[in-house]
Amino acid sequence: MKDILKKPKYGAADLITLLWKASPLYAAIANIYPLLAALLPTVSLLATAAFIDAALAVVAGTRPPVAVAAPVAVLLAVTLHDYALRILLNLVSTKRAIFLHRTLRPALLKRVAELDYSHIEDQDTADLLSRVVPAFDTRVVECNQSVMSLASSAVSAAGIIVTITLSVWWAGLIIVAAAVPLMFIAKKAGENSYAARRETSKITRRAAYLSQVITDREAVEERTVFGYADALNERYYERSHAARKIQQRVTFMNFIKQKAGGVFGSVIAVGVMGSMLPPALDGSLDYGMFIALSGGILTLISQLSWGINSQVEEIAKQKEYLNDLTKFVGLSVSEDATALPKRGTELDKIDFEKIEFDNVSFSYPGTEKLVLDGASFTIERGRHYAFVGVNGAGKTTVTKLLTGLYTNYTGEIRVDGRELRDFSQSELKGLSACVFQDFARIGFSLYDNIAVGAYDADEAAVLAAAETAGLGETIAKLPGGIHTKLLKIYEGGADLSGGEWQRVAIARSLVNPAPLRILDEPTAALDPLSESRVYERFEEISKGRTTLFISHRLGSTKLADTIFVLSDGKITEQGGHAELMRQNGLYAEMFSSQAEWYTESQIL
Amino acid sequence: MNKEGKAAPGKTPQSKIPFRRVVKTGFDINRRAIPVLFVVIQIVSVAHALTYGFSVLLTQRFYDSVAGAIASGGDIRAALIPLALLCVLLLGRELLNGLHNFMHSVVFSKGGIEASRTAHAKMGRLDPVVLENTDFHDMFNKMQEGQSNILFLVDIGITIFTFYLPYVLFMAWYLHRVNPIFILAILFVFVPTLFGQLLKTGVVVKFEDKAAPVRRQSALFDSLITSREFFKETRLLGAYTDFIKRFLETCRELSKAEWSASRKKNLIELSMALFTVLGWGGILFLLVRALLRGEISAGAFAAVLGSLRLLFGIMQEAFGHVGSVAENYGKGQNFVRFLDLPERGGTASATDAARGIVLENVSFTYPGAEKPSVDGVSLTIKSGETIAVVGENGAGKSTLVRLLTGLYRPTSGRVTVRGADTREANSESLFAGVSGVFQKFRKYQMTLRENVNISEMPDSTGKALHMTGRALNTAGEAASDGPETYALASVGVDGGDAASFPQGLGTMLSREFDGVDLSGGQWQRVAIARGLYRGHELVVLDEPTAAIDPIEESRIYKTFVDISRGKTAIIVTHRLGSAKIADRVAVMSGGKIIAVGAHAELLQTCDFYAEMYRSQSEWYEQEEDT
Repeated sequence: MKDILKKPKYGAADLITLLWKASPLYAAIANIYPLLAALLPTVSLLATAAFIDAALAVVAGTRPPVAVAAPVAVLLAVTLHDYALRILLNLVSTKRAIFLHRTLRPALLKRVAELDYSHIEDQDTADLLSRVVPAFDTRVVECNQSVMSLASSAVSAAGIIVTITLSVWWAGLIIVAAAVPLMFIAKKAGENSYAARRETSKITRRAAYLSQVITDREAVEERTVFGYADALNERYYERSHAARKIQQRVTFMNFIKQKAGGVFGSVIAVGVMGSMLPPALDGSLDYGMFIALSGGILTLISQLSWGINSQVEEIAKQKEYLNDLTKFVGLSVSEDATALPKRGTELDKIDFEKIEFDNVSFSYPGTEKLVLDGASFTIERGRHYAFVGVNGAGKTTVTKLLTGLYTNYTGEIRVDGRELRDFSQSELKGLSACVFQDFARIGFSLYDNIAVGAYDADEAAVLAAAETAGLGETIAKLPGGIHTKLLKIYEGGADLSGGEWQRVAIARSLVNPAPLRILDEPTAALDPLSESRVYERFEEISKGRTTLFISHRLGSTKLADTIFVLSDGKITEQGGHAELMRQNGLYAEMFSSQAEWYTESQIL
Repeated sequence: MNKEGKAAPGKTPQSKIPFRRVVKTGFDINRRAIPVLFVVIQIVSVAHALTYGFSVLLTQRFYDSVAGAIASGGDIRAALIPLALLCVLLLGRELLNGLHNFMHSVVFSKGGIEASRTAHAKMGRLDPVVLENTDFHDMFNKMQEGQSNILFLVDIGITIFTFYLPYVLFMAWYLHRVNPIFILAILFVFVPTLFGQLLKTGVVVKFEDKAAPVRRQSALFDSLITSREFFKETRLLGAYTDFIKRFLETCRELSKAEWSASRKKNLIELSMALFTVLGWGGILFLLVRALLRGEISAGAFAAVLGSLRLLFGIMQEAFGHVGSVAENYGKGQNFVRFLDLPERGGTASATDAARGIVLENVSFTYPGAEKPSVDGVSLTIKSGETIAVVGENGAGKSTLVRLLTGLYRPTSGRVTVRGADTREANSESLFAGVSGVFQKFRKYQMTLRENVNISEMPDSTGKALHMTGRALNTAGEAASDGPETYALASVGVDGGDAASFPQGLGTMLSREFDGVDLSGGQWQRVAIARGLYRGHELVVLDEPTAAIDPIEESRIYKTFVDISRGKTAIIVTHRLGSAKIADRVAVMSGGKIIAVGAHAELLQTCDFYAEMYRSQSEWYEQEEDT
């Protein structure tokens, strides 16, 4: 089952085999039954022929009326199958979907959870994931079905063609000869319309973007004051029509081809019917058979000219999915990424005396710019640190390296002398608790939002963390207290203000017993005053622990024992506030540029 | 079960839009998008339907002629003419089928674009306050969904009359002609399919709903593991184990819910199918009986038998469509409801910059809110004055500014901007000569040039840019590169810098559309250039709260000062220190202006202001140590 994601490359054969790997039982049903059912049109054709001949014989008085019973029974049985048995098969496919969702999906989720973090931040792989992940378990079935529907068309065509050939051998030959170009045209048309859809997707996306700008709630101020809605709407209109025209041209050409095929097919069908006239008239072809075959040919031709191109298009689409799947399984993973954080025992506690960054350089995968360029600094146990620097100086990058999200740095990061890259994922997770700028707001209860991931925290600890983080008032206000569900996923789910969510994020880090606490500017929505309060409080409740925080509000950095100034990927200044002010470097400049608004002299 | 009747606070019960209006809205869209095609396709549709009917008739003729030829001793010529006729009909059917399908796809794509355009135009005219409705997002999504429903509704309505009905009538006529008793056949088709459809709409939909809440929960755990939004934390917290466990738990629940829904649904469909088979059997019985009695020819028998599948199929399709009318009507209402939302409206009014902005006892309450966000505010801003609005998060600063510009109209009281009452003047009059840099400025995925000049889009003649005149006067040479370059240069962005902007002003600022992305600080500068580009005598400058480093931040303030010089300017700021650049400062708290005055004056007279100022400035006091 799990080795379904272990292939290095997925090709055409995997359209079929994926489902077999996922579930041999369901695959067998999915692949054998349709082929058998595809023979039913032939059965029904033969029954019709037998029935007409029998009925005519009955009318002529050469056979007893009971002669028609058998063919009629067959016709009814086929009808019963067509209308009723198919529905029972729906039940099988429900079972199958449920089964695959429970078995395949967890395997996929695990694989995604193990991906190296760099893939998540990279736009291209993020797009790839959004194509591969959501539909995985249904795609496994669709891949198989895309081939099967073409195969069963082929079988049902073959059944009728063989029957025709057996009766009038050269008529069969004509049909085979005509079917080849028909199928070719259909295949081409299917591929074309798939290609056209891909080609126009870019224009369509840009039109869709304009639509988004016009309708974006957040853009209401600029839209109204700048008054661009009408102009953009016109542009939307033009682009949409441009995309539509391209697509329509292809659709039209395809209809032409398809209908040319249909016309050609109809002519062939009528030709074959005409050529069966002489044997019908001279009695070498039974009248019943003649009529049944004529009906069969008409059905066959329309099937060949209509069905095939959508089937081919579907296969092309599914093959594209397999290409994506190949890329997906090629993404690098860390095997133990899903491990629980190590908490350690009394003897073997996860803790550290110091963490050293030694000449660390780093650039994000796929980019050339060195975000960190020989950064060196030391963090000691029990002290408070602040990182400051201009936008893009690499402050957040430091937290991403420290938490082990990225490992492709040069230089060394040592925790008590041991290189961070040698840490297991479990140890890394046990080492730090991090509140990110974009912390998660989850549609759980408030309690679960705090306790998330804290597998070993007891209820008292969670309640205490909520209280310490200043959520007391919020909890009192919520209808269901701390167990109120948040966000609109649930009916009646409550939403919190930006400041309240921040406290949730902080409470989340409080229940985490990790020795290093990191606060990465989770305060964007707050005014400077409220933000300073958050930092003050955080320091207060983190007494005795090691903390590290990032802020642009330089006033609050005074709380830190040591301030690191990052500039051009290096630590250019470090020390206490007073010391850095004396150095009169970047820190002093940044501090003064904020402070000058508060000095009594007029700055302008 | 749904707790209906228990309306959430702030939600108004939805009014029912009459069926006729929904259909008319759909018609109007089609009339605008495809005036001619819409008529042509109906004609094609009738012709297309009739080819299906005639093919049964001609097939029978052909079969009969063959039987006749056999009986009469084998003269092939008697069968050739019917065969040729059949051939012509088949060709016609192919062509009409292609034409009909193709036209249908055109009708839908053109109609869809027109429906979007209609919705966009409405969005542009909406009263901005409507967007603050807590359920606006929901309403908007439903409108988008309803867009296609409204088109379907019209299409279904028409197709029933131009396709299904002609076909069925033809078949009824034909069957009756073959043998009067065959009119029963129509009944045998009609009753089971209709009955089936009734069951389906009445019962099946209910079963499907039951799994929805569990499905949403399962999707949440799925996204906690896979989505970018949660990935970092899920990993670092080690929450995977918990999430996957809960995912599997919901899976079990979901399996049960889906299986039970599917079983019931399919059992109902099975019973429907058995009725269909019964109907089929009934027709077969009639056919066999008539043939054995010699009432119909073998040709008629074969032709009718061969057309049965199509007859059932088409009937099922038709009733399926009829059954979906209710759903399409229900959802289509959301589109009309959206078009009914209140618009900003107003009349063209003359403005006079010299008259400044006057607020008289202005209050404003957000829809659905209990307390006013701005409460009894009176304030006069003189022309050319710079005023700073300060206060803590939630004090009502942004709302006040939206009232000052006329974006929102007061719930009570009166706002007069440049002599125009904001309740009466339309957007065009109110916002001509008004510009701004907003807190939630946009990062348009367009070219650098478009990101600047979107604040004053060139009209169809490509002129009428207020900024052009100013640029020429104040910086003759810069203006030769175009006003966009000038606006960018004044905020320190060099559009000609090939390293950052490979295609100059034409550089696409979007990774998604094969362009470049900018840093947060650069985006902020572009937003300021955008505000600068638009000709203005009144400007709103709202401080960004997003993370920006102190040096960039000071730069932004300084640019704000430059922009506001000599104009009427409103600056919203969180840093009280920066408020001193304003002529006057308005201090807000709890929706009220508690003090207005110059910075130095307020420090003396307003305790609240003095305290806020002190609490911020003390972070920046130089230590007296060493």
